[in-house]
Amino acid sequence: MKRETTSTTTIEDSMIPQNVFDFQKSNETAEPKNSNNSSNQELHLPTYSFPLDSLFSQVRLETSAFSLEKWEGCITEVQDDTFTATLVDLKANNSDEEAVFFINEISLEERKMIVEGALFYWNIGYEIRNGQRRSVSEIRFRRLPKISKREIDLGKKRAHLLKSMLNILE
Amino acid sequence: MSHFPLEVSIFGPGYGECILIHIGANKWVVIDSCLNSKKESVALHYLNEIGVPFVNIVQVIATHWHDDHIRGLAQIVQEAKHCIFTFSSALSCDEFFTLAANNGLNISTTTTSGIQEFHKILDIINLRGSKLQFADENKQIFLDTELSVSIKSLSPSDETRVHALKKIADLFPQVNMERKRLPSITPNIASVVTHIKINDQEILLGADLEESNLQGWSTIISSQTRDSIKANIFKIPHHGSRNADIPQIWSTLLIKHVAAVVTPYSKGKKLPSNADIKRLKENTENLFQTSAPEAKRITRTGVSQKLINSTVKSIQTVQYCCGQVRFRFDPVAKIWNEELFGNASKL
Amino acid sequence: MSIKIDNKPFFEQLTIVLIGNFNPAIFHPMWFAKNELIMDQEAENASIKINNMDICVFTLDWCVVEVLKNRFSIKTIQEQTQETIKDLVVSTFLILNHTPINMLGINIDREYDAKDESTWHNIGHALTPKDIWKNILNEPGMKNIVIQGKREDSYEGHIQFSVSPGNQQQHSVSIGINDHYQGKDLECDKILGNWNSILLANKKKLDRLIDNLQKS
Repeated sequence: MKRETTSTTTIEDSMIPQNVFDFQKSNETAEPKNSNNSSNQELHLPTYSFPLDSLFSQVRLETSAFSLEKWEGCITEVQDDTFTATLVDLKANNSDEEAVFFINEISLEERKMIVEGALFYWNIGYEIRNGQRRSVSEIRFRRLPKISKREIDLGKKRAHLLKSMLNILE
Repeated sequence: MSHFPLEVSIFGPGYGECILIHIGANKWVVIDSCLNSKKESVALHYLNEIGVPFVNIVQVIATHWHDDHIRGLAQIVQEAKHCIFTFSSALSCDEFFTLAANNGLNISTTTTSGIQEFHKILDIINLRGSKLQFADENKQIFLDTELSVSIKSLSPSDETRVHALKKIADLFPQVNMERKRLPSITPNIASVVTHIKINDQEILLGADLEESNLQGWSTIISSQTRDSIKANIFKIPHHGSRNADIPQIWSTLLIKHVAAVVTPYSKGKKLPSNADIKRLKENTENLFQTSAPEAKRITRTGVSQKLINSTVKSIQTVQYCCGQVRFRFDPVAKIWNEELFGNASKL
Repeated sequence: MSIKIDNKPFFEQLTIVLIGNFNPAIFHPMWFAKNELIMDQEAENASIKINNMDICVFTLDWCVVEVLKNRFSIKTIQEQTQETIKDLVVSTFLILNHTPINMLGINIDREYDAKDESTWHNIGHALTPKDIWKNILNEPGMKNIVIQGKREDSYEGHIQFSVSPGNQQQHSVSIGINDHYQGKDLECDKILGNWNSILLANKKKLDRLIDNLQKS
C-alpha cells in the first residue's frame, strides 16, 4: 500500500474561505447521480452520504473515548435518594440487569428528568485526551422532543388505516 | 398422526413466561413469549430442538401487552406463517391501536414496553394478510373437531374490558408530553385467561389476571355462560401473587391435586414470595416453579466492576436460568407425566 | 502471507450524514438547547466555528456538527455518545419535520494497527492483488479501495466499504463502512428506529472483514 499523509487542522478565522465551495478538494470526482435537488446541480456538490474530506470536516474533538460497557436504562422506581432502573446491554448482549443508582450521581440540570419511565444511557469506559487516559462512568438522559399534535394526528390516521386493513375474525 | 404425545410446556426464566401446547397431529399453540439468556425466543428454540417446523404453530395468543409476556412474540408470529393471532379485546380500542401502530410514540428504544412488539406483530399480520382475533369472555377462539380440541378465552368480560379501555385511554400520550416508556396497567384485570380442552383433559392458563374490586377472577367464577371447568394442569396467574389468588379458583375450576406451575418474577418486588409459596402449597401438593429465584451478577473485569461499583448501590441480572416444566400425556395410563428442565423444581 | 492485524481498532468515528435541503443558520447550539435537545450548559460551552446562511459548524464536548445547504452531518469519536448523536438527529428532524431528506448515511470509520510494514503491505495485497499491475506500474500500491454491496432490507441504497492506509499512526489501516439509504422524503425516525441492530450489524461486518483478512 502507499500512504498519503494528510494533515488535520483546526479552523482559524483566516482560513475560512469567502466562497464556501472553495474547500472542495480537486480529487473528488464523484458526480451527483439521480439528484432531484436542482440546487445541487448548481453547487456541483457530491450527494453521497459518507463524510466529505473537506476543510471543515477536519474539525476534530479533543477527547476520544471507548466504552467497556454501555446500557440503555429505564427508570422503574424513584426513591428518596436513589432510583431503580432496568438496564439493557447495548454492547455485549448480556442479559438484562436491574440496578439501584444514587441520585447524587446525576448532574443537577438532569435531576428533573428522574421520573418513572425516563430513559437514559449509562456508559463505563475510558476517555483519552492529550495522550492521557482516564476511566469514566457517565449517565446521560435521553433527550427527545415532546410529543406533537402532528404526531398524534398522524398516529391516529395510521392506526385507522391499519385497523381497516386487518383481517379480523369475529 | 404425530408421534408426539399431547404436551404442555411452561417456560419462565424469571422475566417472562411462555407456554407451548401440543394439541395433537403435530399442531402447536403458543401462549405468550419470552427470551432466554442468549436473547433467543424460548418457544422457537425449543420447537427447533425437538424438530417441530414452525409452520405447525396454528395459534399464537398474547394474553396482554406487558413486556415480560410478549418479548420475542413478533418473531414467533413471523415464523408461524399460518397462525391465527389472538389478543385481548381490551386492546381493540383506537388508543391502543394508535400506540401500537406508532411504536408507542417512542423512538428507537431497546427497553420496550410491549407496545413495540405489538407494532411489529401488527405489521407482519397486515403484510401477510393473516387472521387476527380478539379474545373475550367465554369465546371459542379455536376449535378442531377432528382432534377434539377446544380453546376458549374466559376473559376479559364486558365490565373489565370497559375498565381496561379507560386505563389505556388514561395512558395515551398528550400533546407536549415528555416521551417515556409507557407504564403497565395495574391491576391487570383484562388479561386473557385460556381454557383448553383436549378430549377429556383440561388445562387452565391464568396469564396475569388479578382480582380487584370483585373483578377479574370473581367474574370468571360467577359467569353463568361459562363451561364447567375442572382443569388437570394450571398455570398460576401473576407469578403466584396474593392479589391474583382467590380460594374459589381452586375449589371451582381445578381438580384436587391439580398440577400447578408458577413462573417467577425477578424485578422489583420479586414473586412468588415465601408467603405466596406457602399459600399455594396449601392448595396443591403438585406445585412446580419454572426457575429458582437465584439472582446473579454478571462476572466482569476489575476495571468495569470498579466503575460500576462506584456508580450504583446494587446491580443484578433479572433473568434466571430458563427452566421448563413439561407435562406429557400418557394415553394408556391416562395421566400427565411431568419432567423438569433447567432449574425448574417441584416446591 | 501473514496478516496479524489487531482485532480491535484504536480509533473509531461515527458520522451520520443527511442529504436534503437545510437552512444552516438555524442550527445554532442555542436552538438545540431551546428545544431541550442538549443541556443549556452544553450550548453555552459550544465552540462555534462559523454560522451563517450557507454554513454552520460547531462542536460540543461530544460531537461535531456541520450543516451546509444540502448536507447535515454530525460525528463523534466517543463511543459512548454514538446513541446520543442518533437521538439528536432523530429529534432534530422530528421537530423540523418539513425538511425534505433524500439520503441518509450511517458511517463508521475505524483505524487498525497493522503492527509492521510487512503486514500493512499484505493487507493491500489481499484486497488488491498486484500481479495485474506489475508490468504497468513501478511498485504499485493500494491507495484506496471501495467495494459496494446491495442492501438486504427493503430500502433503496447500498452498503459500501472503503479501505486505505491510515493517517493516525504508522502502519495503520483505515476501514470504513457507509450504510447508505436513499429515497424521497426519508423518515429518519423510522430508519434510525432500528439503531441498535443497525450499529451492531455494521460493526459486525467490520469485524468480519478483519477476521477474513487474518484468515486469508
